Amino acid sequence: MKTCLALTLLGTALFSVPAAFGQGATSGIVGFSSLSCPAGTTLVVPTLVNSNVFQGAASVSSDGLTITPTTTAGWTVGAYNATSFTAPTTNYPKFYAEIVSGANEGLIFDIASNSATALTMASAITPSGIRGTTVQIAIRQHVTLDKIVQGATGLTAFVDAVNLFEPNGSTSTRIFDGASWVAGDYTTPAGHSIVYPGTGFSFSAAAPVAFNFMGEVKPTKTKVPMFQSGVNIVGNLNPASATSIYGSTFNSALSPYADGFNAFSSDGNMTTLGTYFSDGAQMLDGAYNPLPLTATDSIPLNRGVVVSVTADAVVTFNSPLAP
Amino acid sequence: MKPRSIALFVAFLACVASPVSAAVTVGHIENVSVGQFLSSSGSALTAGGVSIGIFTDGLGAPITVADSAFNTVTAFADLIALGFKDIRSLSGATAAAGTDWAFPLAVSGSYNSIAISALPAATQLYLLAFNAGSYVAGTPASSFASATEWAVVKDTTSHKSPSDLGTASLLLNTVVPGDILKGTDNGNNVNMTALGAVPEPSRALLGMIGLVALFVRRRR
Repeated sequence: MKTCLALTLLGTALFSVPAAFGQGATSGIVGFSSLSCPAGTTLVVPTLVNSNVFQGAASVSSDGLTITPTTTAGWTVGAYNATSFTAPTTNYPKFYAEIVSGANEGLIFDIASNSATALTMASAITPSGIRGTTVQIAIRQHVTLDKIVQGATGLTAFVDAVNLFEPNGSTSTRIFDGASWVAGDYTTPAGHSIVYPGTGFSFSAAAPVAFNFMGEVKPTKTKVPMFQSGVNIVGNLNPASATSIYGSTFNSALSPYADGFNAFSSDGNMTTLGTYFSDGAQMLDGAYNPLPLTATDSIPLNRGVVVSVTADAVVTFNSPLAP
Repeated sequence: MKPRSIALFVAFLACVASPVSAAVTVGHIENVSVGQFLSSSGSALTAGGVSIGIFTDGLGAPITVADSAFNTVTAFADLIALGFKDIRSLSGATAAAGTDWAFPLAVSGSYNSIAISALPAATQLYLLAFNAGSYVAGTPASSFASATEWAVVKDTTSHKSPSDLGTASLLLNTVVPGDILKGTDNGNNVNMTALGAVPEPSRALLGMIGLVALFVRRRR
């Protein structure tokens, strides 16, 4: 089944995102990106993010656990807190802070909680060189499975499911329950499961499904961590076009000849379309030969590839607004 | 509907959207930077090729084979008898265009679409090389016929089958001396050793044979 895509970009003058929380929110280019998934299994990487709710300069504590805006934010206490469900429901951070400029642009850090004036991070910020410095940050709400199904059609309750591949190598199955998602026990709420920027999931559908991802075109770089022990579904946050594998930033992110990724078909059958490696400077095909300039190999829109790395690594994608 | 009935019902429905069989990729490349197999004298190989595989039981399930088992191997057929399966014979294995694992260099390429059921994640992969012959898909026991040298690498850290949907690229520059079951370490490279070499008798045994022969001669 052919994929039918549509992207509508709405002008910032008409559809600027209002400052919904505190002060310092900025507007961006918002819209939606449609993705048709046939019956079967395909890989999905949403290409839009939630608009930021705060942006400004902030100092990072020396222990990396606190971020404090240099200008008093006056936040609502707890506005950025992680979820607080009782067991066995898994809790997730709801917001993240992203560095939006400089050498570390694109790094994101989960927020555990906030006071009126500071953020408490879910874990100490790394690399440690950022600690004790002042950076420009933006706060965004995570994209969740509930966000992803907003406006989706064709989903079949208690049949359609996603697999989220965790950094530690485990797999979390989430099943659509008609309105939200539940865990593999078909009971525990899981609609708040996070899909980090530049990452995705495998989606299995009994019948064709149309997603309508809504959000903002990410204006900053995206740094996507890839884990040695995990199954890394990675894609570029460009909601307007496919990403050419030739010349992609994977060429410097992958360990030469050792790391690689598989591209799979989008027809529901997960047929391997190609395997790719890097020699440290250029992308190689499955025979370890350099891809030519004319190569048409690409990562389709709102899709991803499965990356295997021999050690934890990071791939950086430029914003489509600043290629 | 009772809760247990609901659970059974939805479990049945779940089968409708169960994901298709997953697949993995295994690749190998040799060059001066990532290492290569060389002859026992350290020369570039002009014939033969590489085999990457696992050991399985009669039903295809991975098994563990003692390293000492390689001491009795004199031909590829012996490996087959031990349960060795070249990944090219596993379900779904498809060569990427341009893949060539035969000497002389370039040796490079990968096999994708290998069913995860045939190559479960974290299965130990063995990297072998022979100085003559080639892999014969139809009759693997006849592969690498006339080879006189070989090498066997068992990298327990870096040469494991990948996770679901993943890739594993087997390189020689990750190999440490302890990983080389047959052959010798040569920097990033691995030198082959004689295939099926018969262990030389000890001096004591030779001496005893000589004494027995002398005794028999004197009695005559």
